[in-house]
Amino acid sequence: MHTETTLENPIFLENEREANRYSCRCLQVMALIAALAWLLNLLGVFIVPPAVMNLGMPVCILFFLLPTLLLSRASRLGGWFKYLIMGCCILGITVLSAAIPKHTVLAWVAPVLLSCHYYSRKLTASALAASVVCLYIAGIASLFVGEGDPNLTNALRMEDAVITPEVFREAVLFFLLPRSAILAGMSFVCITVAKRTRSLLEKQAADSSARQRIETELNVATQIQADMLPRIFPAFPERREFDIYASMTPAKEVGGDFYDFFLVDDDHLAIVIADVSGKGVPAALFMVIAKTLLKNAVQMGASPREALEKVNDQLCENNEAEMFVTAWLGVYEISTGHLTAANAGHEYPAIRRADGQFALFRDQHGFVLAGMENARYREYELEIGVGDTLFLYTDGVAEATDGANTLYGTDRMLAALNRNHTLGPEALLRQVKADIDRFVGAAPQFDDITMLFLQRKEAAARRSIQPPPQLESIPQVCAFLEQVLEEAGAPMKVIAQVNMAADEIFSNIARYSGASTVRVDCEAMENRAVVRFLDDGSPYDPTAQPEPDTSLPAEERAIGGLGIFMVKKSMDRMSYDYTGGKNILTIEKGW
Amino acid sequence: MNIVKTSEGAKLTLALEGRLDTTTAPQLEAEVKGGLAGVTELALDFSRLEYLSSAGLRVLLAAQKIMNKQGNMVIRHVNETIMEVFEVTGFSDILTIED
Repeated sequence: MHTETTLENPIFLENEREANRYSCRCLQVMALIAALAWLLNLLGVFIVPPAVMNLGMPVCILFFLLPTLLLSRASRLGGWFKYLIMGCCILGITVLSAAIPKHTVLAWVAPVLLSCHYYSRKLTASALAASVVCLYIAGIASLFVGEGDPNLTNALRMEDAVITPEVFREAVLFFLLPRSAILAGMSFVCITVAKRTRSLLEKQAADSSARQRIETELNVATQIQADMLPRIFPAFPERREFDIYASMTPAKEVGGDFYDFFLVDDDHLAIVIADVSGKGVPAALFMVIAKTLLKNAVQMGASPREALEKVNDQLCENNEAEMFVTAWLGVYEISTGHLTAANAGHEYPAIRRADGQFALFRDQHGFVLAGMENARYREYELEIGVGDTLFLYTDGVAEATDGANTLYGTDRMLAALNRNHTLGPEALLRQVKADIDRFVGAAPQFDDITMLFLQRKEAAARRSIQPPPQLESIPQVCAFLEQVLEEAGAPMKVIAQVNMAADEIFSNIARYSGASTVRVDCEAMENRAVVRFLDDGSPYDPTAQPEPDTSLPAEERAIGGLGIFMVKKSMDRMSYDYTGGKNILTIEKGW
Repeated sequence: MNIVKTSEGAKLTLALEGRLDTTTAPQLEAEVKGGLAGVTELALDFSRLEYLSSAGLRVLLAAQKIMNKQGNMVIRHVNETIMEVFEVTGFSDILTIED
């Protein structure tokens, strides 16, 4: 059973405002009909005594129009306005009925019908009660002012002018009871319609709040997915040897495309671009798995071919949904520009050589990932020269369609690339995206659009020395660093701090590592320097050592570990990596 | 690194010039180990010292321990770079540093 408390529901409050407006309009029509009847009577078409009409009709019309006149103040009256409307309607009909009762019997249905607008049982019941009372009042009044209702005049036997119990019984029986019963029947129709409409509205409200919740969750999912892709550019501000830029524009709230790039070690950058079959939430879930597995495989040291084979087998397990991924995976050696890549059914990459034009690089495709167990992939190698640009994209680029279903295609894509080839990765990507948007026009985006640019740049001036790994080399290392830093315009204090750090690190290598060779690289930029120590000694991560207790009294102090602690505190960054049989300790200091 | 020694009775001043690091710390260590007999007041003048590394700290710690037994030790004219090292390593709590 529904209760009237749900009237507080915004949907019902909104409905009540609407109902007020429509009820007023209904009453306007009724006023118009009354005015027409009056006019026709004046013209002699109807033959009601003019005195009755001239008095009754204006009053009746005024009652019908009163709610319209007060409509602008409806909000101040709140829930009472509907009672005002009902009251005016009933009073108007009472006047009408007192004047011409024989012709207005049907008009008594109007208040109950009008109350239907409000889906309120209480209002309909009130309208019914008021109508019955006024019906009787109007009946009596009509005896004196109007024509008199035949049913009532017969019952009352006016000629006797005495109201006996018998007379009263007949008035009730022949006049009041039948009309009240008909009105009550009508009210029941109204009440059931109101009840059904209310429950429909309530269901709709519940549905819309459920839909809203799903929408909110999708928005969160979009955000999580976007956060999974590296989106902060420049991604490697300390790396001047290359520039990378990428973007993903999902067609739906969440997409199946993704790109990824990350440093495998100090000199190797892994790059992934992929497209999961399908769209929406299923594709997005599969994308998360594929991206994670690929990253794990590459970080565990797998080559692109090995990584694709391993991830393919992992994705094939329990792939009941029969989804698949196309992926291109490359590992780029930063210092040499040497690229090793493998392609699992993904679009051809495009390459522009330093002074040339973008062209598709038709690499050999393996089968898509998650398509078939034990699929084999082929790896290929490619040299990226200084100034060369690699462009990776998903089929959302080539298969973008305009209003006439024409494909954007790789030719338009290459043309857009070559029109803007002098731009850097970020500006170039924006131009291509703008070109696609112009082509597509107002047509809806069908597929995710993902693009990635990698450009090899002139390496920063890097200088190296390879002193013998012994303590006596320290002055040579310090002199080398001092020279590079001085040329770069580093302040005295920074030079002193870098020298101090070099002293600590190099003396550790000379004393403890057992290295046979050591190389010191120094890369000085505008306002920062990166120094790398590479030695072939036993693996040792100084950054993982516990920090010394710097609060002990002199007698209890130990010096061990203090040096590296000082380096950590005076440099902006210190990182350790063991790769290719070498300890690589990198320190960075800005000014 | 140069070390300039000025001796006045039981008072010894060592003025250091250059860098106190892995390769030069043994020089100061030799002075500390061999030259502090009978010294009750040791002053280290750092006004011309560029920086020091943990090897230098090791020698300073050794000198402080010796002087704790036989008198006192002060370090004068410490530059900003070195002061930062003293502070991050907690040596500023052990050493007596004067302007």
